[in-house]
Amino acid sequence: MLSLVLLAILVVAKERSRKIPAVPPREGCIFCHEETTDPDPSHPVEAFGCHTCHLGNAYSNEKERAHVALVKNPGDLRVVGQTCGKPLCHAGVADRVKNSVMATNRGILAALGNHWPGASGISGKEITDLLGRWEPHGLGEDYFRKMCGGCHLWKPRGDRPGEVGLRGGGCSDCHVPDAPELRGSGAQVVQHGVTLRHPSITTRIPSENCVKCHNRSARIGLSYFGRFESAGYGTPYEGGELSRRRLSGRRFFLELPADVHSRKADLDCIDCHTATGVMGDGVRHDKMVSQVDITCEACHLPEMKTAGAQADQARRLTALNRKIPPNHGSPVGWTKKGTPVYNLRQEAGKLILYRKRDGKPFEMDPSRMEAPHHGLPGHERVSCQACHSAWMPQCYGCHLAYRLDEFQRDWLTGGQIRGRWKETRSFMRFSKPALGVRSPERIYPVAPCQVFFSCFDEQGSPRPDRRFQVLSLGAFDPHTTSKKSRDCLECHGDPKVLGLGSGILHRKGHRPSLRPTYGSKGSGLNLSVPLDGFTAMGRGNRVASAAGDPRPFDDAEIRRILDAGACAGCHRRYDDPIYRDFPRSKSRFAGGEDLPCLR
Amino acid sequence: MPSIGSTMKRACARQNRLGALWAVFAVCFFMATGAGGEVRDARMDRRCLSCHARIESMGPDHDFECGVCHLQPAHRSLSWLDGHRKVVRNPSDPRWVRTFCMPCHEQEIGIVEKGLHGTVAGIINQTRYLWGAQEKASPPRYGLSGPLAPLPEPDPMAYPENPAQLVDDFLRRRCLRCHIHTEGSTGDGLYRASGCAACHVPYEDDGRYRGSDTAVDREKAGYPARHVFRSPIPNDQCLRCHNQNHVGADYMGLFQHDFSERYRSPVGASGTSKRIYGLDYHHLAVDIHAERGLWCVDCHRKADVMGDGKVYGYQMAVPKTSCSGCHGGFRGARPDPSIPGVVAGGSEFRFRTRGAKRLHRLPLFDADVVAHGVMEHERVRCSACHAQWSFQDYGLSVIREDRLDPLKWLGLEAQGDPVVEKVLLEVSRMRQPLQPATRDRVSWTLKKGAWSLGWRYRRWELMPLGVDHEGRFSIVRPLYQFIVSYVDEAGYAALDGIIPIRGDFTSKGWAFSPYVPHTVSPAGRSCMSCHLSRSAAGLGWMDGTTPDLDLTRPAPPAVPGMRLLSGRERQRLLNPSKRWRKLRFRALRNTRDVPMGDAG
Repeated sequence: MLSLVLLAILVVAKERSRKIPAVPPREGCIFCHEETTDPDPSHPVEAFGCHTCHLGNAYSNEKERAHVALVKNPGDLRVVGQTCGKPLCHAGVADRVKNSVMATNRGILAALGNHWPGASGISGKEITDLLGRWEPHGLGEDYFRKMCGGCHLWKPRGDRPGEVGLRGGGCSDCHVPDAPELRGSGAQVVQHGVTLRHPSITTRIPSENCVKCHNRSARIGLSYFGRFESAGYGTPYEGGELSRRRLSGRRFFLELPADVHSRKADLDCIDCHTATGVMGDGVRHDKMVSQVDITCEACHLPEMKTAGAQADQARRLTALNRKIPPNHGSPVGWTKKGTPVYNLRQEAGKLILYRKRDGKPFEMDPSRMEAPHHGLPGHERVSCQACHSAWMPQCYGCHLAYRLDEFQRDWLTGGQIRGRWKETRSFMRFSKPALGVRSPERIYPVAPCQVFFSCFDEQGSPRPDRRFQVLSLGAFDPHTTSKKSRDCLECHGDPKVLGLGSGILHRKGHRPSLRPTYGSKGSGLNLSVPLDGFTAMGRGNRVASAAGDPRPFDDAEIRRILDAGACAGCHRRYDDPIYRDFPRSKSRFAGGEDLPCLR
Repeated sequence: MPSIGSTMKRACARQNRLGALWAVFAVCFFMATGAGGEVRDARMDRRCLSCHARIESMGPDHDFECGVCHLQPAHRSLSWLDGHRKVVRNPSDPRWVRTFCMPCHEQEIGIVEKGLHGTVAGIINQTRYLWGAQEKASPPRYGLSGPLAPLPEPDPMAYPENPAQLVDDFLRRRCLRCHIHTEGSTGDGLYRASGCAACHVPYEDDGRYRGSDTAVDREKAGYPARHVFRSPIPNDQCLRCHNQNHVGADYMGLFQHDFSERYRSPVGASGTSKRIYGLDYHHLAVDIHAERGLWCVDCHRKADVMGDGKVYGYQMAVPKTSCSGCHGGFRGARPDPSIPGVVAGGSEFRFRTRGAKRLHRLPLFDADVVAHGVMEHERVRCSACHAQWSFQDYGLSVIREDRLDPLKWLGLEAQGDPVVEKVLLEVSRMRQPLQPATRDRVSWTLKKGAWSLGWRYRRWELMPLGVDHEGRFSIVRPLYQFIVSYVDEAGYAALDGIIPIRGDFTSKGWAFSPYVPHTVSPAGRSCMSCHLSRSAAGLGWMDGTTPDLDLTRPAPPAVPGMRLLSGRERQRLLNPSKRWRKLRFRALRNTRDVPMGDAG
């Protein structure tokens, strides 16, 4: 009996999901593709038909003729001007996306161009400049094509098996959720009986869609969820096999504390990252950081506004989301670029953040900017991330062997071209993120990027003459936010956090001196600092980051930080009187006055 | 020409007088010797010398004819030997040592058999205890020599159902490659002999002969560097075994790279990294004593290394030269001039190194250093503050596989043991599962299956504290956090990631052990690397908030009498007293060498 009822429910549900055109179709597609589900309520097949998005010849009932110029993925940036981005549809958005860093990769190309020898030609270039060309201009571009070029919006989706195949596809890269059963198959569409289940499209982008790409390099997509790419042991063994905690590419992960936004509210990437931040503001940015428009302050020190055309946009986006209750004039949050954080609202005197996935409301803790730890003099330049990032993936030593006697796939053309890259590391760490200074003069978590290049020629012989090394510094939000901040001493007393590298720091007379733990020279690296450091006290400061942004702390800054650290061992409270006028406290200390702490 | 007997007697007398060299070894077949490497015309040895013409002398104390060491007594009178088969390559090998070395060195051999280098009792009894195979780790029950019971040899037909039934197999095949009864692995840095010669006859890293005997194949690995005893024994020879992440390697600043092929770095001229001791190594801060040219044997004298005639259950129990013996210490203790190498000269002391025979000024314990004025620190091992880094290898997963699936270990074949690597490389190249066989390093028999292992993660930065058997605060390291698996011939995981239970059922078989990191820095670490440090207090990294991070929270040591910090000790570290603040204040005012910051 129960099963009969269930069956009836199933049948009804299935029938309801079928969209059978009420009027006879004008499109020949329906001749074969009889029934299909809607991609989403905004693009009902009934209203749009197939041709509007998929092009092709809608007037033919013959497969071959009908499929001429058919577009399987309308989101592909090559055709988007005639599909999603056609006039009267999403024209403005499509153009913005083409200019965004996920489509241009200008940030990666500029970083390579600025740091790699002989690669300056690719600075200011973007993916579209490289797509049609077959011969890489220089090593930097060659490296990009083979090692980086598989993660951008121009990449065709479904071209390879596994995670790689899920990447790319223009608009669809993000807006088409990868159904779990599709992951790893690369297939886009599944035929269930007669009904074609059309891939759904959504503005409620699941985080998996982001993490399929954002799981290497800075690895923020992993860190946010509390995953740290391990050293690859595949432990503990499970069922006689290596660990099931796997990432793509025979990698494994360890579990560390997830970002508080994930842990407490299970927020997705899009709950913070706005449409403008992700799809761009139309400007071709040379750095990801200048495209992103969300800041911690946008939610935690918000400026709430109601009026204006922007608020209309907030309402429109809310309506598109379909899960967050409609906004009847409540003030919403704003980003630094003036776009609405429509899921942050002020309602009945409370600050509510709605989770975009399901519209679940979360009442925000009131901001505690008036608390002593946030008003501590001397910390004006310190970013939220500097103190509130619990850990950060740090990959030390990137050893690139380039073999000209072998071939490797060029992601941009799909062709095999001469020269194969092999990447190895020295070691990985997660604890004690280092700090540096990022423009505009903000103290921020940084991690060094240390390329040691070696070359083997067409005969496979080593070419020591072509060796080089590139030392640079990257600043990024680790996405490991924790409510509790790092201990004062972790920054004010740890040489690694200061950028000097770990070791024993001691004072000889009045000069701080470091006995480094990592022996770079002994380990075969031509480096004057320990591998987990990127600057040194005194002469020859600023070992890394030729571009100057981010930069390591300078001598004066390091001394100031350490001076405060000396006191912080005993003066553990933020509101301790000695910090009110620290320079004066310091001179009192040095002057040997009768100090209260000695009584 | 003197008879063999009289030669031996004379040599023995000289040996007893000198009392330094004691064992005999040779690798290059039956040979004659010439003092100081000078080749002499010895009629009795002409047969050997006709080929081994330029073989060097073993040394003045072993200035014997070839047959004394390399032929069994019954074979010595034979007029002619058919080939080399009757020749004993290594007379000090445990199979032969009683025949050849014993007549002169009975006392030494007896001591070595009882000492930890002979019994390996520490590793055996602690591991067996942690895997639930015996009730206590100490006093020791099993050992490879001496009065201890021989390590049981598991029945090869038995189907293991718990870790306790696997532990002896694991020890025999994976751990005990480093003991003097058998030769170890082969590979750069690993070549060595067995028996007395394991220490006393040095090898080159590549295991190739560098002497003057023209009959020895110089292209073939597995020969000692020269046909000589070397005294004092150079560090390289200790590192033939004391490598990987074990004490000894740290003295030279070595820390093993992670296993995955992603860590074969930096890229050398061959396209891959330079390997020694089975893998590539990070070079970290070298112990200050090594930096000054001191050898292992400068501190670890004969009684430390060979034994003192007593049976010990673990390393820390063996009496050794202490730091304060040379440097002085609390309560005005001065260096002890009776320690070999310590030279008193007025108010200053000097130390004469055994290797380079150089005299160094001995830096003395400075009572004016604020930390040295704190009497509570008398209970703190010097190394707890002066160690710069330590071996923290977290989460050891071990698996015995009687069936190896291809691709499973792809990229993880290198595990620091060339023998295991060879097996795993073989299976990675195949398309079919393989039923491997590897050698029991004690009985030298081939047995089905192979042991692989992997860590969760390895660090050198953390230095948690514990209390050693003498009640002194020491740095502790994981030894180990075992997770045991067994896959049978059918591919069935009969043991699936089992955490063993200790033999007395007190807790799981994970242990941290107090030890002395040999990574001494002249400057101590900062006060805050212990005081105020949650990881030093044993709370782990980020308070051990995930199962992976929880590995950094120490588990109690295996050896009775050693322990972790008590709750009160932990609280005192984390909430320093007013007196601590005052002392720190004084330290900061001090214009001399002052530790800053936080290295822990």
